[in-house]
Amino acid sequence: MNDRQLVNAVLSGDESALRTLIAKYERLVAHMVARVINNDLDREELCQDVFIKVHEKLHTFNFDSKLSTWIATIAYRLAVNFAKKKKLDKVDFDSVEFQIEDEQTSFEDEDLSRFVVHLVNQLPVNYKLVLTLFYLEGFRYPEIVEITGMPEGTVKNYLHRAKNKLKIIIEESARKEVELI
Amino acid sequence: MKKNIEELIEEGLKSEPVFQLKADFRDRVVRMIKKKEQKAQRRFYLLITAGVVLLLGAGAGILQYFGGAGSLSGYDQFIPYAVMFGGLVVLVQYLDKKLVKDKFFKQLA
Repeated sequence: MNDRQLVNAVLSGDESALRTLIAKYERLVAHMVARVINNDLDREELCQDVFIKVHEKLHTFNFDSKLSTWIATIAYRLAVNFAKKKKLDKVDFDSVEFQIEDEQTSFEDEDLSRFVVHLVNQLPVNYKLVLTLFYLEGFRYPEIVEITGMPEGTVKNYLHRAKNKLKIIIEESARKEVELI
Repeated sequence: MKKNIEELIEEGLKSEPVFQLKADFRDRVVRMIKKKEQKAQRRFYLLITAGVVLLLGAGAGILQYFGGAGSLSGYDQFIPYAVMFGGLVVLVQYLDKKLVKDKFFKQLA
């Protein structure tokens, strides 16, 4: 069943189609939500809210974009609103003071991967979401523009700045580790 | 390090969050959506009923006001028709949803 058939089946009240739609896109929604919120209960609740909103607004979806992009737009808005409500969006990119725990500064490949995630979690909400959409979900610039409502230049700037900052911190930490040895 | 730092950063960025939705997530969402739909439907029928009652009341009021006291007595025979008309409005709305709209969307699917 393609997305168009799936949407029409859900609109006609087909419960199994609704389950299929949730199954198909729950990973995308969970990833976006998990990057913004740390508490598992809040994460579950927000994911629920996203799918309830998707179902509520599905009749307005006119296939101008991919269904995944449209669902990601709803998830993005709800996640950003949640962050605002919980005052999680007060972090300014330039003033982020990264907390680096000693145990995380081991530079084996797998450890570094975990270390990168640890650093990303400390970035401002918009940066985290743009990074997730680009690297984890594989969305391209025009789709991220549609999802976030940011100009393409801003999206590219966020990705560039975030990656550069991560690189600087990791290189600094690696240098410190070498000095200690 | 076997890979260069940029590759490792990208690998880290591509790694999935540890969080996983509970096994009954879909069931819960579907249940909540159905509950919401039922609530909305009940509200819709309630509004229709209230609208019909209000219309009948207004009609009776107008007849009383312009026709003088006791003028409704001559219209007693119309009351069952008025009630039937109200019921018909609700029935048409219900059949429209169940037979026309649902079938239309099923055909599209």
